[in-house]
Amino acid sequence: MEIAICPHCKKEISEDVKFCPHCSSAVTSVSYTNIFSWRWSDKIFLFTVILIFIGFFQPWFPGSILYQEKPLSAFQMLLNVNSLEIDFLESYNILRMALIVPIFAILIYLLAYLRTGMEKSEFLPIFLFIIVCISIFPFLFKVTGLFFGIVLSLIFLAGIIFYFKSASRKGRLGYASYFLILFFICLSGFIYQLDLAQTVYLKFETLNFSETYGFWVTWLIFGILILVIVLNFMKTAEDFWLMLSGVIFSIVGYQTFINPLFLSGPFAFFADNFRMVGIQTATHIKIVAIALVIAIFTGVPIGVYITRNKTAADIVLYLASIMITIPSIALFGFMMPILSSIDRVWDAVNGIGIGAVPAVIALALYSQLPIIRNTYIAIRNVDPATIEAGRGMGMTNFQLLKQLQLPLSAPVIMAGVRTAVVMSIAIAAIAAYIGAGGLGLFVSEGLQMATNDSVIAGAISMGLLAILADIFLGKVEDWITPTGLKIKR
Amino acid sequence: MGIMLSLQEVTKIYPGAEHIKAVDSLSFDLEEGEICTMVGPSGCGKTTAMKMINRLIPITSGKILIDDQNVNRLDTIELRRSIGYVIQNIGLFPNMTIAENIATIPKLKGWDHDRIAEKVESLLEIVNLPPKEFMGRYPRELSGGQQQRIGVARGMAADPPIMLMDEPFGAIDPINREHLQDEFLKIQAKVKKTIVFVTHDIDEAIKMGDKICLLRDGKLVQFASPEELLTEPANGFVRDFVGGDRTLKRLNLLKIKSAMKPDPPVIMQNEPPEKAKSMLRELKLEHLIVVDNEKRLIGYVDQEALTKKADEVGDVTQSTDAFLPASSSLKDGLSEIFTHELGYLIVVDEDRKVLGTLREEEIKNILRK
Repeated sequence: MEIAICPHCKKEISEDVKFCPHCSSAVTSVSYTNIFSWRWSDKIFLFTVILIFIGFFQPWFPGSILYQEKPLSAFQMLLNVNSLEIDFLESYNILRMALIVPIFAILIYLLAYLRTGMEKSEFLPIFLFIIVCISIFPFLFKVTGLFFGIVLSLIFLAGIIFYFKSASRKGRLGYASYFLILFFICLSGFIYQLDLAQTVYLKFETLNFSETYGFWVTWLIFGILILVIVLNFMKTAEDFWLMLSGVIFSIVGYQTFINPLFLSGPFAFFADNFRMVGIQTATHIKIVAIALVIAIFTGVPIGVYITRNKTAADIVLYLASIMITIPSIALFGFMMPILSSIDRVWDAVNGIGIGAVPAVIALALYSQLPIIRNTYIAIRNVDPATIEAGRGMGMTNFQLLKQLQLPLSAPVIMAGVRTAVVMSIAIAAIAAYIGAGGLGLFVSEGLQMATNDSVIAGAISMGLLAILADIFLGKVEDWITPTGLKIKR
Repeated sequence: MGIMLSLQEVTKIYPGAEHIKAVDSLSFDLEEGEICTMVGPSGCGKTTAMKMINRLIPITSGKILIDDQNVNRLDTIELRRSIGYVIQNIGLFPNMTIAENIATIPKLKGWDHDRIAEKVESLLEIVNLPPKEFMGRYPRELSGGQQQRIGVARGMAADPPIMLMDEPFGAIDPINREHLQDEFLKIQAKVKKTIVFVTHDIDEAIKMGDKICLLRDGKLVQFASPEELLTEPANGFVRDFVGGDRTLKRLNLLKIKSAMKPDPPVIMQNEPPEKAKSMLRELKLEHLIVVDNEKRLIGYVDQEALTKKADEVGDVTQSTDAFLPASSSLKDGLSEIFTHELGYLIVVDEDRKVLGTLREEEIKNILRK
């Protein structure tokens, strides 16, 4: 993706040249190819999202029912999960397949995150090394026993190390392998899951196009993308072999790496209660989001106001600090009788638990401290010279706030919001005890019924939710930070 | 030129410190196009006095008139928008590009887009930064000197008749400061604003000011032109503040033109050496300045050179660097006199035409006056 090109003749050059070898003009800064001119981790992310989105509505995509007379998409299944009368094992298998793509997407995203701090030439060996370690070593041990397992592993490692030490690698090989590995991982998981013989020899024979158009559309998009990648980045035979090894590793790796995950208790619980988990996640997000909106629209103005009044600042920050020390369960319990009347109306409208309104208000109160404090500190820390210049140039108080103080303190305010969100997601778990619903339900029910799987499934879901929310808000933070502030001096 | 800015008995007493007058009945008038440097020891009220002009600090008593209008009667916001303001720490807005920074006041005033763009470009050209290169950049990408120039450009953006500058070159290293001061004076020669310039550096005050307003403990000690301040200090404090080397400082202010001895004896380069010899003898000189037909400086001849055989004076002329234009300061002139072998300086105009000569005695005479 990031192949450097000459800004004049648009031909490929290496990044550190002073003069273009093609048109021999001076190169002050290289441009990059514009097929996908984004950061490549974003591209993978987008690619995966599109893929899942398409796949979700298509029959014949991992996650849909293949063994029935008529293929159904995962989306259709979700809609009619009760009327389909699938038994446990089948729903478990469906989910197992449906999760292949997102799990690999998350894995790849984490690797991409790792990649941002590394040189191109460092990353590829490490990535392949990780794949090999995870996939092929357990397999070697299983097949050959401990002694030969160790010997073979060492030989394998030495081979990889020598390979990368001897050959000078180009970064683009890394990217190319990346996409293709993602593709083949999905494909291999898919094929592996389908019981190859049965699918290929029995099912494909009886397919006709009208029933299976989704399959072809999905793989057509896949194919075009792969073709673009291959044509642009695969330049030598080495690239091809690299790709192939990645594919083989990932097929083998699926068995040792992904399968145990699907066989674990929490996953079984998760699969069994798939629909419930989805609904409770939505409730959780709803509660936190409403609380957050309330908290931002009260906290930020309060924070701005108290920058102009020292006494008010002391009092407000003091109160907010006291607020955050009140145990959440006590606050929830205290609010229940007061707010239950409002809640009846709310419940009728939204159909979520009776404790939702107290939960939302309590979360909004808890979020005040990080938001108010960050707003207050950020606005007070704006360079006084900037404000004096603005005032001296005839800005009104509102213009000062809008044009200088808020943009300059936006990153810090947003950091407060991030803290508040992650904290709220955790506190909202307690809200399940007062009937607000949300993912805390699995934890509280699991504790009552001594079902560890339920507790773990709930906890993991909340953890993932918090991480995703933080990543998302991090992007928002980056987006609202004025460009001029991102420049390092 | 009428009086642009007038302070009449302006007094500032801060609440909570009623017994101290931060500024004590300060009065002075400033004509259009003049730079007034306000100088004094720290805490003397110079910045306070300046900030009262655009009412960043409210006036306790007295009047400030801009163009015969009392600033207290004007709308604060409108007043500030009509006064250019440049502060010590520059205070560029880091979230805006250079173009947006400069366009701040025009935007607040609601100018249309084309007019703003035109103004921004012309201002960047005035401060010697290529518009195409700098418009889209952010303040943090610029060096301190460049930022300062943007600060000045921003102050001038809405064509204010008056500008207030609070130690604008305070945070810049001495070499760059000198350069910026020179550039600023060049810009000022073009735009002719009425400027109130606060500084704590007496040298800067003398260099930049048409008038110097020397303050101490909020009181006006002396309001005078730099020349007057140096020659006739009002009291011991002024003398101390200006420093023991005030006579030398005058060297900076005075131009060679005012001290030089005009019309020195010269000889054309195509005249015979004999004439030069006789001139040297008659005038009892050691050197004789050689010029061409249009009285442009070629060099000089002395006795020794004339003993060589030559048809024309030009053949034995030695060239010299010991000349300066008449608009240079006496300080530079004195330095040149000591540097070169001639022992005096030949004064020329822009076309290198010889105007006169400058010797140490002439400098002494003018300083003693």
